[in-house]
Amino acid sequence: MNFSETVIAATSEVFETMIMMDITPGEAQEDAKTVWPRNVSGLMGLTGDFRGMLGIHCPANVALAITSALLGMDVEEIDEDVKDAIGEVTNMVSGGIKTLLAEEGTNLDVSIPTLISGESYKVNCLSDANRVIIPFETTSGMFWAEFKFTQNA
Amino acid sequence: MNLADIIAESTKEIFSSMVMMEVTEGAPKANIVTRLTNSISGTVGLGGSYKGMIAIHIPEPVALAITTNFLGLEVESIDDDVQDAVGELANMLAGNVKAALSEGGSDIKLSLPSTVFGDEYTFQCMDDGDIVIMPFNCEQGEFLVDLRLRAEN
Repeated sequence: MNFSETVIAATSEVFETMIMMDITPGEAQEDAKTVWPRNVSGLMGLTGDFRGMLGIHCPANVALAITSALLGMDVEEIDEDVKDAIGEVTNMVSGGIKTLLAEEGTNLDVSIPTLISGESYKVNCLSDANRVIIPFETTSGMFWAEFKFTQNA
Repeated sequence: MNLADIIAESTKEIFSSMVMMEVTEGAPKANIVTRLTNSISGTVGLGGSYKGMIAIHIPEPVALAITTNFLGLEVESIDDDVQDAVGELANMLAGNVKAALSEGGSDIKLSLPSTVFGDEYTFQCMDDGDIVIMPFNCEQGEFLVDLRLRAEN
C-alpha cells in the first residue's frame, strides 16, 4: 500500500482550503531512523481495514505560523491555542485521508487527536510497522507528516 | 460502565500475567495535561462506536525494569526494545479495555501503537470526552494509565 500520495493530497487540501497557507511537499522518505526538529506533534490513530497512526510534527516557529494562519491571530509561544490548532490540523488531515481511502474502498475510523509538546522528545512506532514521512516546506520553515501503518488488522 | 474499574483491573491483570509485576492502583488524578520528564509513553487510539485513546506513561527506570521482565533482556536506556515493550503494553491494555467495552455489543477497533519519549514533554488529548488518569505503584516506582473516551453516536 502506497500512502504518500494520499497523505500529500489530504495535507495539501487542508492547508489550501482551511489554513490558507502555501506548502510544498518534498520527497517521501521511508527511512525509519529519520529524526528531525520538532516541538509540537499531533497524533491521530486510524483503524478499520488496517491499523495506522498519523503524526504532524512541527518545530516551534512553524507551529506558531500555522496557528496564526488558522486562527487569524498572532501567537508568540506554544500555548493552548497552538496546541488546539495543531490538534485540529491533525484531525482535518486524518479526516481527509479517511475520505480519500474510502473512495478507494478502504474503510477507516479515526480516534481522537493527541498533542505532544516539548523541547526534546522522539515519537516512534513498533519496529515492524511501515512508515512514510513527507516533508512540507512553508515560508516559515518545514513540518513533517508521518504515516505509520501495519497490514495486520 | 465504570472506566476506572476497567482500567484498574486491566492494568493489574496485564502486569501480573505478562510483566510478572504486582501493581496497585491509586486514586484517579484530576489534571488533564500530563507533564513528563525522562519518561516514555505508549499510546493507542480507539475508533468505531467509541472514539478515544489509551496511554501508559512510565518514568525511565520503571520502563527499563518492565522491559527486562517482559522481554527477558537487560536494557540500559530507552532503546528499540524498550519502545517495543511499552508500545506492546499499551496495545494489550487497549485490547483489554476494548474487550470490556465490547461486552455491551460495541464495535471498537484499535489503531497502531506509538511511543513518545524524551527528557521533557507534555501529553494531552484535544477532546472533551470522559477522562480517567490513574496512577499505579510497582516496586520500581509509579506510572500512569491515561484513558480518554467518548461514545460516537
